[in-house]
Amino acid sequence: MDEVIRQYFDWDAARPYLPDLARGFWVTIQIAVLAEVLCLVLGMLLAVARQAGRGARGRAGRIGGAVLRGIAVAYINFFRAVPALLVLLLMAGSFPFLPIPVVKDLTTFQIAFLGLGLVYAAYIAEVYRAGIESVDRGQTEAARSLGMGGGQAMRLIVLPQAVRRVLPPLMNDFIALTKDVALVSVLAVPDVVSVARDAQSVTFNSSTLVVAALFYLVFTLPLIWLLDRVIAREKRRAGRGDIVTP
Amino acid sequence: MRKLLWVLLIAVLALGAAACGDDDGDEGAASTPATSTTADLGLLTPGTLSVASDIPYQPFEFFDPGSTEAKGFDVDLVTAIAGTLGITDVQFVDQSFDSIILSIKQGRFDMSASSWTITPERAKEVAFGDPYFSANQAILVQEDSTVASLDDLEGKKIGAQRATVGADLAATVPGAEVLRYESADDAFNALAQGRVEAAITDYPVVAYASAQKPTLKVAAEVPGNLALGLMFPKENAALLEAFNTGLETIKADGTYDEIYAKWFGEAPAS
Repeated sequence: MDEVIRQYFDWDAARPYLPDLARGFWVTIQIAVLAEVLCLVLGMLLAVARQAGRGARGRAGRIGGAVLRGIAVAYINFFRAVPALLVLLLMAGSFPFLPIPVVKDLTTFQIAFLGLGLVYAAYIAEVYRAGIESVDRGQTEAARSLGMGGGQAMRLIVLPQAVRRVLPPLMNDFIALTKDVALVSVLAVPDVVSVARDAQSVTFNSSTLVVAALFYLVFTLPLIWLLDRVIAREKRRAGRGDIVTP
Repeated sequence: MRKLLWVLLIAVLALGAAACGDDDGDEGAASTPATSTTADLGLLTPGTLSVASDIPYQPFEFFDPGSTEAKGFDVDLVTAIAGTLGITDVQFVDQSFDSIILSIKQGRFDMSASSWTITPERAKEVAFGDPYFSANQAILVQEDSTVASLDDLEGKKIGAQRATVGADLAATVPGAEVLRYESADDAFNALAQGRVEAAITDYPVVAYASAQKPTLKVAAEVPGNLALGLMFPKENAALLEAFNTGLETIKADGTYDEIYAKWFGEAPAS
């Protein structure tokens, strides 16, 4: 039993590494937030592209829409089907050798959040899509009958309702993304997991990993709590009939 | 659709059963030669020596492309010593380097051969056999680098494998940032990409890498001949003693020199 406590909760083994672990967790948060911004924006573009050309009148509009839709579907399915770790290794292992100006100079930190952002954009796009498709067709039809264009109807009428409905799953994906930042430790990016493993390899003691887990808990538990609150509020609203659910 | 699911489920179960059956068969076959010769060595599976090793670490342990058969200096050495003890079944198991010491402490493997430098910190946790190799640490750099010693790396980025002596050495360089990778090859790759200024690990491995990759060269050896040793759980002194005796035997009968020449192309400096 003593050995169990010593292995996981040896405060003396972990204390010297606290500043390093804190710096590591700051790196983790930076990567998570940058990747989140990237995947929210890219995911939105993908979700809208996936709806492109619906109800287009001209032939050009229909063909253009089909092409856009094809690209979006290919992107989404590829990144949903391939492990994030593989994407990260692929990018970090090859980019510096490519003769492409900006790409070859990306640091591992940049590759870390770009890679995670690219992967999570696919999941986020699917979340948005569920939101967009949950908005009744009548909303679009009404907007169009008021003289709005297809893009306007999407931007002003459909998306605001869609995003609000998918807020809980979006937050859920952000929590998942934050946890997946741990993957970047294989790229020698000094995130909290990487720092904890470095320390563990010196002390032969797992307490620094426990501290890393605590850092994660302090960050993600409030998010989980907030998520539950948002869901509960949405439920109350739905009960009162504030949201027009057709 | 239902039917298809059932067929799949049964296929999976059958595969699982077949796999288990294979394992049983192996154990049965392996335990047959477990005669009295190896019974007192305290092996986890009588007759089979399980060896944890972080593969690849050329030329000490690596796989040829398409092969799952470990080869290299450590592999030949352990196999030869095991041979003198009457153990014919030597299983090298690929493990991540920074996890091996814990695995050995927990007794998950009989021993580890992974070009372990014997250090006081490690010796507190596990037991080491007599030194079987001595090596300097060395600095690997890009072909056009002007780095010629450890001092030239001040304030620079240095790559090394996590939990290695090379990583510890890099951390002693003033102002240097040490990037710790999963494997030595990852550190070499980062060097080729220009993400780090230099990579540090055992000289034979650095020399091997520079021979394989023309864009990399050995900048310098860091003096301080470090001894490599085979690693055992502290609880199994019998196996450690047997391996020390075995090492003497193969050194005396010339087998050691043969293995050394095979992997390093020259006879060991005695």
